Amino acid sequence: MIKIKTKIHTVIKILRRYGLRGFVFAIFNKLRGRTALYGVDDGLREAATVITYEEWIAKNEYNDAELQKQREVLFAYAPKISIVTPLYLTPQKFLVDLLESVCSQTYSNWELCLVDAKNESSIQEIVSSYSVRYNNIRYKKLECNLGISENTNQGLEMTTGAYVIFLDHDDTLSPFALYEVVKALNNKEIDVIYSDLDKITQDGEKRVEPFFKPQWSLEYFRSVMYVGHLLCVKKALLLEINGFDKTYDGVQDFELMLRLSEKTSQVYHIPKILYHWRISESSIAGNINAKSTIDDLQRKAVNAHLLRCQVGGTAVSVGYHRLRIIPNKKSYYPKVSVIVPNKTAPELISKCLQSIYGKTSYPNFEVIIGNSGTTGRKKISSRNVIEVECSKHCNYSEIKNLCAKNSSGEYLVFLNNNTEIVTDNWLEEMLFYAERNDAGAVGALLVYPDMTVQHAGIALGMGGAAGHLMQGFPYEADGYYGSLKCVREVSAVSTACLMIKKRLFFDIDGFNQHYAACYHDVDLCCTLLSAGYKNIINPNAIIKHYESRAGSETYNMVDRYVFLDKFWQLVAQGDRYYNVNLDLQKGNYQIGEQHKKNTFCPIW
Amino acid sequence: MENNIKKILFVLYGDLSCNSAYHASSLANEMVKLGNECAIAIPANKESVWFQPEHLYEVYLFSDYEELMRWNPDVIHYWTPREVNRVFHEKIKSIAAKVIIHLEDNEINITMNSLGLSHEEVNDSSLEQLKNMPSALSHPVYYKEFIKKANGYTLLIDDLKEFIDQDKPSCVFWPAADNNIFYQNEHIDDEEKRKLGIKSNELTVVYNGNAHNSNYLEVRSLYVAIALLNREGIPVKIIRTGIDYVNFWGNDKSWYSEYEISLGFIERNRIPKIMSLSDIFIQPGRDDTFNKYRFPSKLPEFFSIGKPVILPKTNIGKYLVHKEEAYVLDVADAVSIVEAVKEIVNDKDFYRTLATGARKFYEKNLSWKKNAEKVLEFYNTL
Repeated sequence: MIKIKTKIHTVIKILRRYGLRGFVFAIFNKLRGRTALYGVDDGLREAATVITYEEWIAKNEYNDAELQKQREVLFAYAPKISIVTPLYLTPQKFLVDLLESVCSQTYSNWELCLVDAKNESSIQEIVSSYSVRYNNIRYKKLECNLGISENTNQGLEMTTGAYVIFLDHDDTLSPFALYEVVKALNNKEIDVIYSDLDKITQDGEKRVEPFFKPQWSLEYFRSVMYVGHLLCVKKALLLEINGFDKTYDGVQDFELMLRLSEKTSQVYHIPKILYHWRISESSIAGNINAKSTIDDLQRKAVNAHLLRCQVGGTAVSVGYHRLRIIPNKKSYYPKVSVIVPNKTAPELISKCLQSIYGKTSYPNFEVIIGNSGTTGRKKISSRNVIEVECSKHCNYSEIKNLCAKNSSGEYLVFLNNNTEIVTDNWLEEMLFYAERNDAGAVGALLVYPDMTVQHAGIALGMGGAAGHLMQGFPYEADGYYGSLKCVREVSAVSTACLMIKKRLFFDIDGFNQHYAACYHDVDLCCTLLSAGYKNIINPNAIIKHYESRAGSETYNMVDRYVFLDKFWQLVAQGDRYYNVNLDLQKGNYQIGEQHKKNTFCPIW
Repeated sequence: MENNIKKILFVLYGDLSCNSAYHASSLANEMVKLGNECAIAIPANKESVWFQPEHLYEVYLFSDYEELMRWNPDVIHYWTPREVNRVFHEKIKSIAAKVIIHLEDNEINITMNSLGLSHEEVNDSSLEQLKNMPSALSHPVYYKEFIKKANGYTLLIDDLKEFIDQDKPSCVFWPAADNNIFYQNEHIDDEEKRKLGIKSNELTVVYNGNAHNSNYLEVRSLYVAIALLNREGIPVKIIRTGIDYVNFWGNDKSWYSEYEISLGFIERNRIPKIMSLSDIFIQPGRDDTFNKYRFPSKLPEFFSIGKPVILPKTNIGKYLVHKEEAYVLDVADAVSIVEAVKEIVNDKDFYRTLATGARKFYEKNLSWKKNAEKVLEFYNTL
């Protein structure tokens, strides 16, 4: 009875709202299995649901019919892809799995270059049996084991393709790996491609632990080898940099990628699982502490890279193959203006100021307080602060812009009055990134009083607009493959603690003053992104943020739509640094399923 | 030049209540007034002729095709290459008439948006959705074949030339408003406003039109602008006619509902009176694949009334003199609209300049009579 009443109510609602014609369309669509009158939240990707990896594979990877269709595709640009695999003490089953995965590629213009440093007859027999059927399998015996880098370089010498993929001897490729690589090459001018990957169990039967990576993020890469596999590089570029460097055996691919990043910015990420990394005790896939010299080698590689790039910092290992770059001491410390709007909760300003002056090690800064309608407060007379009086009607954007105009620093830091400095070198840490030519906004790690994460970067698309990642994570956690531990690029950072070059701030006209309460920071960061700048979160600068876990009570729907109205296209493209396969509802890096737009609308 | 064309058949993809009907009907009426015989063929629903304020032409159904063949028109003017028209052409192609196809939009974009398909999907004719697509849309593959069969084309905006056979002639005409009901009207009926609940100090913006898949983001831009203006000290109400086929407001309307007076679908003859209540007309949007190829039908109505018009620099916006005939924005998004409105309402002389400029532009450029003469001349050149 209730169901019938509900249905009648729905029918009446539709008729009232859309008339008879609209009702007819609703029925039409219902019969076609579609929602007749859809609600498209801001026209963007609808919120994802969290799913298991098996479910994700079933929903997202190609079925047999689709793989067969790929075999029939004729690309306008169909380069030969060379796959290089150095062999050494390769288990037979692993080799067979590898060969099967290469031979079943849906893109056929490939060659496989096997370089054998051990010369086991069983391996040669297996290779021969495949070579009979596939004449694009090439095999070379080495006189001796030259080490992983030199062995691979020997393989590189064998190649005749335009692009080279490196495939470890115990790993496999997805059947559509080369297809996806060539598809990307047909759309863009690319020098380097990397993809997402997962791990396979020792027996090769089960796929686990996918790693859904961000788009190219140099800062993140300097802290952790996130690029990994699958790596595809233009051969001409590899030759230009002389391939792998044996000095870095063990981290040779990481070091190679660092040198590649110095040569090109045409680095493209394919958000698909193209590579399966076998779990074994001897590899990091199975044991993060395997290859115990890794940390030291990575550190050396990054330091050499930083020297070549003339970046004034020193990399140190922080465990689990993560690196942190410590800013070098400077001969000149540019003045930093710390701007603190004092509009709501003015009683917190004293605590904030105490922590700024008590904790900050940076030698050259000023503090500017933007007072807005904060009557009854005590004048802050005991500190060397500049107080700028703003009308009580001023919103945060207006206060900050006005304070910025009254500043004398080369760099601006916007800091909420409900914050407390935790790490004393917060300004040095942030400045190290803010002073780069391509730097936009630099943010800090914001934590709740209980030291769990309040802000570790902002992803576009969360909640239909933008949201904070990793909220609630313990601040010392590694995060998703180092995402919390490492400095990394993000789409936006919170203005609760945000640093930017003053010149750049005024070049983009400061904060958009049409926002009453929120989104003005995301707007600023999106403006910077659109202009080609990078926004960075530095978790080594830690600020305590006394904000309610329930979120800001000042959330404003008009602000939300002002932001979306301006940046809906950027949001609709998907966050560059939060993989499309990850759940956008909570921003905690769980696997999610992104739904396609599914709409029907009458056109008259 | 001798005028050999006397009998013109227009073929519509929908009945005479559809979006395009008014244009075809207006053109046909004017051609009849110029001494020609005109007919409009529609798939169904002859009674829909009463949606049009005037119909000096005959109305046929597609099922009357044999009668049409006996009538033997000199020109068959298909109003868009939509599938239902293409199929109908196969029935009557033996008529020895000049075939003209009229383009008024990016047809593939409409198909894509209506069916929720990507660029890749829309070109895959094996796709199930395309096999069963509504015939009132253009088939992405078949429509190109149909286009090639034309002797010439009429276009609502010149950018549509991208979609025609480049070796064949075309003629661009801009639609006008119905001069019987739309005319210059500087007077604002305060009593009418009061009845609608609009205070004397509140600016009024009238927006007539549906929100559908292709334009809902623009409609949202307008609503965001209205909400922002109110928040920033300029009381504004939006009077809205038309139907929202798409939810552009999110989960909750409270962020704008107090500023909206929604009249829903209203009869066409009431629209001019409602529109005359507007202090400013606003066409939101930007130069994108949706707007580049269309001529928003409400724009002639905006200009005819003689009030300031704010619009983006796309389609007709490219031809208007900024700050004389209209306020032309690179992108008419919420913030830009707000800035433009503030500039206009805070300067009475500027307001007057734009109002006068709008009407002058209309008188010079938008006329169904002139369009009919132009199109007839075009027919005779083929």
